[in-house]
Amino acid sequence: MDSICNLKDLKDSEMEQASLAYLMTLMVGFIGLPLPIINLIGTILYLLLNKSQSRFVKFHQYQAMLSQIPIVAMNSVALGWTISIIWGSGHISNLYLGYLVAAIIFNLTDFVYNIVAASKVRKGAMYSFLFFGTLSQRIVFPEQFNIPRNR
Amino acid sequence: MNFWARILKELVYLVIPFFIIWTTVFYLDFVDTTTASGLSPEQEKKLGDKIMGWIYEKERRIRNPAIDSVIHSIEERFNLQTDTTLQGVRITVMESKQVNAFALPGGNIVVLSGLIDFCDSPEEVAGVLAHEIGHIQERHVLKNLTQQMGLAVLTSLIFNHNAAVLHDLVTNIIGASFTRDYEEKADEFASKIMRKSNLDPQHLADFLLRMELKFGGPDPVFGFLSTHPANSERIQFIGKMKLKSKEIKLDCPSWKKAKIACQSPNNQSDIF
Repeated sequence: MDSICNLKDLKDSEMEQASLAYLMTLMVGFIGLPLPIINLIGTILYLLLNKSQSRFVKFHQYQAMLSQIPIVAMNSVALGWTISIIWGSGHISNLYLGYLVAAIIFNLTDFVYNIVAASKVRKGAMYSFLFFGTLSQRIVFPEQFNIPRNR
Repeated sequence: MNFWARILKELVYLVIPFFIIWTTVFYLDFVDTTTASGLSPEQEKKLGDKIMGWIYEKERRIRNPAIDSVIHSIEERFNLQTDTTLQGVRITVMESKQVNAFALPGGNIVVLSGLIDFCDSPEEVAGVLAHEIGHIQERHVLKNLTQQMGLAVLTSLIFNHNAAVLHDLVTNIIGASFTRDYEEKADEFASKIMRKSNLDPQHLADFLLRMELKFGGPDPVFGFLSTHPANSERIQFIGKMKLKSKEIKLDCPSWKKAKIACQSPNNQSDIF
């Protein structure tokens, strides 16, 4: 990554903006509970409004946003399913409980990863998630996407 | 590694843990464990006896030597009196044109005379009973009732007589549909107990097939079918469990008399 995005020359403001992308996910997510779409909207808005020229910042903005898409989809299913049980004809089944536990664990994992990413990125490290990091690299660094992970 | 290979590999790494967690919790069966543990087996038996008592008040029990003999020969073949795991299963025939049999909490099975009339052989009756015994063994009825009516209602019924709630409860049992999982477990149990008793599980499959042909698939009017969805899959599954050795037919000389006794009952039923 150093060859494309020189970590030694990073400005403090770039590190702060990149770190904020992850913190934005958490803050807006808390505000938007139980509506699972709010955190995704928050990260999209942050990406659109904060048009940084720095690819370091862009990479982390994309990574924060992309990682929210499956979380939103997963939480929407969980919310719809729960509503159908409370107000509809559905009932609590092992299938529902299994899904809910998996969704909660994935939400917690996402939460932890966002905090770790925000902290590492604030110190100027290039922190890349599984899958979403690769996707973001492809978008932001199309010329050379094969970069070492989690430096 | 090119981009697509890498992204696909990473996607799999993400998705697999999700499904592992989902299926693990699914198979840990928290719902069944919690719903079934609400009542002890003794309380469940008391509840079943209360429901049975109420059914006796409302409906007519058929006491016919020929029918009793058929039921007795099935009970003997399944070792209901001697097998410690099956002790407590009691079979009662009630008067009704409906082709139905259902299990109650605590071990009672109600067979409606319409079902005996519909069956081609006593082995078919045995197949249906084996399936209902399966529901009893797995406490499916109690689990269903706990989910639908709540534990508090069931517990209060044990100590208080409430005719309106009992009526709702029996209607619920007759009209309730079991999940696919419950049906599969009951069919599996039925196939095992039939094979163990030298009876071919194919009789249960034949019964289901004739029900399907006569009534045209699941229909809420016909209770037995309405509680047993996906008949074609069940017929296929039971068909695979065929008895490999030679079948020993039930000794039921009074079968024809039993069928005649079950034809056109004078049915003025409120609940069946």
